[in-house]
Amino acid sequence: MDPSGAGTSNDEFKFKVVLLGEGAVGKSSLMLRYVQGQFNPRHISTIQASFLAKQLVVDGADIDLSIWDTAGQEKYHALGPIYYRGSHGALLVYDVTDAKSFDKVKMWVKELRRALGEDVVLFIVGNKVDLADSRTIETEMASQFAESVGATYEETSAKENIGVENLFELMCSAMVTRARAGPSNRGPSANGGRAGTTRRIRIVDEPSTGRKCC
Amino acid sequence: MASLTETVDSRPPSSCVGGTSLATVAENLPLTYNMATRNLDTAEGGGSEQNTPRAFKRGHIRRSSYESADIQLNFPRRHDPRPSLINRTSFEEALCSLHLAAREERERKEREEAEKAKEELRKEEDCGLSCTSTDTRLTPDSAIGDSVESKRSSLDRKSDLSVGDWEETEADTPSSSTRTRRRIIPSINFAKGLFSRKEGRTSSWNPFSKMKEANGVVHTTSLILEERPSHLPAKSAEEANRHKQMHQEIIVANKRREAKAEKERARQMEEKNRLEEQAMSACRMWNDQILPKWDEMRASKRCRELWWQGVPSSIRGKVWSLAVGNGLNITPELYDCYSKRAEQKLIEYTETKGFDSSEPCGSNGNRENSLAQVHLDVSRTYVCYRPDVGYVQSMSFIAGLLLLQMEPYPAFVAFANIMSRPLQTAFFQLQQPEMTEYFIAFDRYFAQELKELHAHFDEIDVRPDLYLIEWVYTLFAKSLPLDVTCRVWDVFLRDDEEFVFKTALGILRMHEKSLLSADFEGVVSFLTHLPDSLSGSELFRHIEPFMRSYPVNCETARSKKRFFQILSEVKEQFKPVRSESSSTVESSVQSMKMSKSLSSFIGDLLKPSD
Repeated sequence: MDPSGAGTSNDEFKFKVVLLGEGAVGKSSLMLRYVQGQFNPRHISTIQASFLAKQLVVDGADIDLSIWDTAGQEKYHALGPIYYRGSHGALLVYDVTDAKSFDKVKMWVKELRRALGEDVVLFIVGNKVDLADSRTIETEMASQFAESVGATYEETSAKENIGVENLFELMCSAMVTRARAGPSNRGPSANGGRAGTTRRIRIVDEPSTGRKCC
Repeated sequence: MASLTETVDSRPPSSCVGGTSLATVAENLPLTYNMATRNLDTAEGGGSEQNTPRAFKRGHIRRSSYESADIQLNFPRRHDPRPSLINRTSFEEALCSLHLAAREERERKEREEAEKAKEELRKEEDCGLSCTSTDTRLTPDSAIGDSVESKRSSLDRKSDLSVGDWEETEADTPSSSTRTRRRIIPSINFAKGLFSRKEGRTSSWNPFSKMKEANGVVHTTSLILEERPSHLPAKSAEEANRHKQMHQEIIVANKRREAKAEKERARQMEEKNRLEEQAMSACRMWNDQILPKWDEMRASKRCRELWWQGVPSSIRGKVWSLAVGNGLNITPELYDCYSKRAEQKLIEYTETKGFDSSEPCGSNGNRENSLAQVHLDVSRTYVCYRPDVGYVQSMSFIAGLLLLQMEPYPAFVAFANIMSRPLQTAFFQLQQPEMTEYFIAFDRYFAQELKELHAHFDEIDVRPDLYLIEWVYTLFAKSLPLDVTCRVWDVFLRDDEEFVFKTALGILRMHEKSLLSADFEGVVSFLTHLPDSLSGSELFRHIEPFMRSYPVNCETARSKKRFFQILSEVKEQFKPVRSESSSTVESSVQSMKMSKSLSSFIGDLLKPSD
């Protein structure tokens, strides 16, 4: 990265990402793993929705990422629109050992495309890949499906911390690309009015300066 | 342990050099310090003293300064602690035996011991004994301050003086030495409590030390009662006088502080006694007068007052059961029938599915927690009772709390009946129009009661659903500490849904200041993760103003509406459009009075989902 450009000429983006999917596929665990670096095998099921924020730098852009984790239970499905409205990206999570949860992803794709159009960045995430033995949904099938609906397919394990960081970075990267390509005609995001006092964690590679001495 | 009845305050220790009636800690402390600076350079530099210089200066006397200096100087490193103990004064014996006990018992018994000490204290106080297992000379020490830190430092000091050699051996293993120190705290507390009660003259040394830290005079001014060390020139008369005067001032100031602290302690004790007394009489009242004649008493003013203060935990289950009633007429037979069916279903489920702990109502095979198992049973039984409602993810919180207070059958009855209340029906069955009404009503109520905060929330786009949904679904069981939840439920079962919203406002009001300065993220993460330390009595203090707006004839109250009035207004406005198509419902709802952030949310909520 250009040392003079870092920090001063970075674009700033505020992105809202929503986690959707069947109950108990690991949405909350993915979010907690990514934001807090934790994994709790006995996580209490999410009631309604919860929210966490993270700042990062991807492709030379400062990103304020707000991640919305929703309750997966069918009962709460009707509340979905409340949370995905205004999202720039959606992570549709399923459990690779549970075929039913993959069906649910298909349903979410339809609903999101209908509600948010082509503007939303869709990622389909197969979680729990650490449980390889009881796997029922193969990578092949899932990635083909993802391709057919214009989504990106990723595999993760929140428990073993496989691919989680990568997933969110890819997602941000895709959202940055999309935002730069077409100046967004979306309204302000759900948290548009908040003050910019949040602590920023810059993940910027320092340009190496120590070469001269040896 | 020895028993000493003599006290320090009334009579200076015989070995004390000052010999005046002011032979309190003040005189001795600086002397000790003086000796230290003069003579104990080595000890200061290398000894464990180094770690606790503050404690040293704070002046914990147990003996005259000469004496302590003696120990420091002449017996700095004795290697066999036990024989030396025998000749020490009784308080040292007490301490040493504590030390020994502590060393032997180790970490595992730490809590038990603290408990025991506390109990002992209570007993001693009750009996009015003036005997103590610890020398009363300890007490000024323990009165230094209430912070654990100062207690700990006083302990350090103690070990240095009386069993210094141990300190050294134990210093090798820092963890064990800290353990030992902590272990003694109960005994100090003991002495403190005893002293404050019996003597009524405890000194508070905290200000003293503060003063010393602030201007650095205290420890030098107190030198007046001693001659200067022989190798230094003597004080001039003027200087000696000045020192004497300064010393007097300090003593007087300290006495004043002592008196003040003592007064405060007495007040607290009185308050505590009063509360206990109140709780006792409340319990009697509930048992003797209210419960036997529940139907006529429940609406009485006296009963409502008692209820507001919190139902005693011993009869909470009973009161809750009675308060919820059984409008659904559920019989034990009915319960048996459904619970058997649920059991059957569970067996089938585990057979077909095997062990899968990831499922919310999954197998109970790996759930050691029997309570968890039981409370799943109540909500699972409910699923069989009302398959149209089914299991909703927060039901377990409600069932769990009920099961903590009562047996499964009454818990099931209470659960089913609570679920049939209008608020719960609306939310658990996701009846979106009804939910909308509640949200709008809450929004208006919020705007009426906490105008400023409401405006702030609206500005940063914090919609009520972000925090309210969880509170309503679990009735605060997930968000508030258990004891607070129980108290909220007490009144919820008395006042019904209105109290849920009052509690919500109470929480907001309690944290109004910090919420007003927080941004979106701050507000949402705070409200969805309320602090564990949230105090029930404080919360109720903040709810109280919302309870007070009851008298309708009152002038000020006329402009303010109660929650149910607002709700019925909303319902009234909502009714005519309910039957029409969803788009007209939406547009007419949008035109209703509510905050900006809510209106966009309502649009989503009312959108046809299928």
